[in-house]
Amino acid sequence: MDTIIAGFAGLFLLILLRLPIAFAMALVGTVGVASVVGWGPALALVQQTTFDTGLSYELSVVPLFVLMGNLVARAGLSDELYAASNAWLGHRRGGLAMATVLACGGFSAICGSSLATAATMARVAMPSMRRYGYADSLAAGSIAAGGTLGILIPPSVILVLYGILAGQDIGLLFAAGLLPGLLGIMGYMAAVAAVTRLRPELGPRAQRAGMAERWRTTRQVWGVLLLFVVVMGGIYGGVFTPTEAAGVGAFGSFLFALARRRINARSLIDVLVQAIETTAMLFFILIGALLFSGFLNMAGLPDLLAKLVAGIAAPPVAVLACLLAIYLLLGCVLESLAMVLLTVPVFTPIVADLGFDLIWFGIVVVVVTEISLITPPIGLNVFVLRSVLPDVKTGDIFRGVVPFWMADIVRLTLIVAVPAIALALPGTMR
Amino acid sequence: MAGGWIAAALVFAMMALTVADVAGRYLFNSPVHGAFELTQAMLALTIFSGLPLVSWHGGHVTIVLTDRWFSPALARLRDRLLATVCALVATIMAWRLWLLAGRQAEYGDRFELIGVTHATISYPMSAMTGLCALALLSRAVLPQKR
Repeated sequence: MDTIIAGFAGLFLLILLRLPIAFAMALVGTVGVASVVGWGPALALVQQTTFDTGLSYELSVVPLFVLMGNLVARAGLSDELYAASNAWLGHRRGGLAMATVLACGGFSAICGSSLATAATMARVAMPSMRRYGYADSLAAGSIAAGGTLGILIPPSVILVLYGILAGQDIGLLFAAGLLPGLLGIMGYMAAVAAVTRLRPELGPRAQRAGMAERWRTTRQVWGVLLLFVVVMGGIYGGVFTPTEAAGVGAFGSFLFALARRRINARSLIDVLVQAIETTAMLFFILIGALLFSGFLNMAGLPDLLAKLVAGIAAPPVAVLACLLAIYLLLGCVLESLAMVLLTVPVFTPIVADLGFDLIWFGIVVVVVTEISLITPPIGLNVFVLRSVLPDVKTGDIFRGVVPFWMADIVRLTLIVAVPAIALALPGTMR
Repeated sequence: MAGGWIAAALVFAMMALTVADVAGRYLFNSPVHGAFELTQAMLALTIFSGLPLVSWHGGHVTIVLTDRWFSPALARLRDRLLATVCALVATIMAWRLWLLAGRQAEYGDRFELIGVTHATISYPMSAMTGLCALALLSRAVLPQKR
């Protein structure tokens, strides 16, 4: 017990001092394991974990999906998504913000990262919302919130990592993310509608696009649709493993970028290197998290928690509510990836013991992670927007995010109350 | 940068391999022999070749909560200390991977289908982690722009 507390205290101290999360977890994890079983086994664990993680086939989806997202952004498909959403929704009150949410959802279907989705859509959507006199708060809020869909609508890097840590099938997790993602789009659109109903001046109407214009722009998003159908349809239908789907998807988006002459040898290298750097960073965090959770396991945390939960004899739903409350609190102070990697190894055994489905729990974890991405003071999506749009105030973004945050809480409650929202689609695959 | 070229070529090859494997299986009924193991080996090399790059660029995720407690001079000192700690962690990993590679070479561990020994992969992994340690150390001792 004391070792565990000392471990967590040390970890949080190092993280607060700004030691990179990956290194903090690796360091505390190794020292922790050494304190339980000695230095020899601890260092042996370091080398085995590092080697095995580097060679894990399931994780090869990560660089390939990251690459696919980067290439799609480079090919300019994001601009077309926004143009099409705009043509259909722009003339409504708050319509450009709704279009932003919809385009974010579309982009999420080929991009597995929330930060990349927010950064890409900020560049595409912010200028036109500004031109039509949208308040910065609503405009930036819709991008920050819409961007969070990146990790829920498949493909999703976080779902891959969850799948590895919790021993769940990645294809099933992807299928489970789809309906909650659509629910997220609807919820965010409703939030925009509610805000602009109360304060119409925040999101004035743009001119209505004619039907010809609507269909013309819609026809241009076929590339995105095709990629999504091939990649996700392939996984869903059992044609590909997730890794193969990621490879095919990345190759498809490479062909798009090539056909549109948006890429040359130099920018291709840039995109490739960027994808590798992102992946290397993610892998290193994962290695750190595996070492840290190895320590927690050896120090007996799972047993301790199981006894604790059994001891209070609370109904499963109450325990689940506690876990979600912990997530929402952690989301205020922890970066999203670190939060998932730290909590999943600790919480999933409890959740499984209580009889909950681990695919469903993965979706719940991702939704609370989405919420953490826009919760102050460390809403990472908000910081991404700040770096892409330096002239928007952080306070404005956080103010703009509030209605979306409320929509998220409603969505979380719905998914917890009605697990079928997540489980219906994977149920047809099993 | 040469490291960037190698890493870029590796990830591109990984993509091409999965596409060739899928195309081979469905179109020509002949999947790439040992694609699973090839992917594993290339993944390890790709990731670890990215490690020195991301460390050199200072791309590791940190949490910025306590910055206002540090004066600029103190923050610079802290950053150097942190980079030293990171370099130390990376050095230990590089050392342990080297030992692992040595043992794998001794026992002759290899991928079943493609016949490549594990040590062929783990020696470069160790070397790249060592480079990562050097990159981190350079952030600790060289003057840094802020």
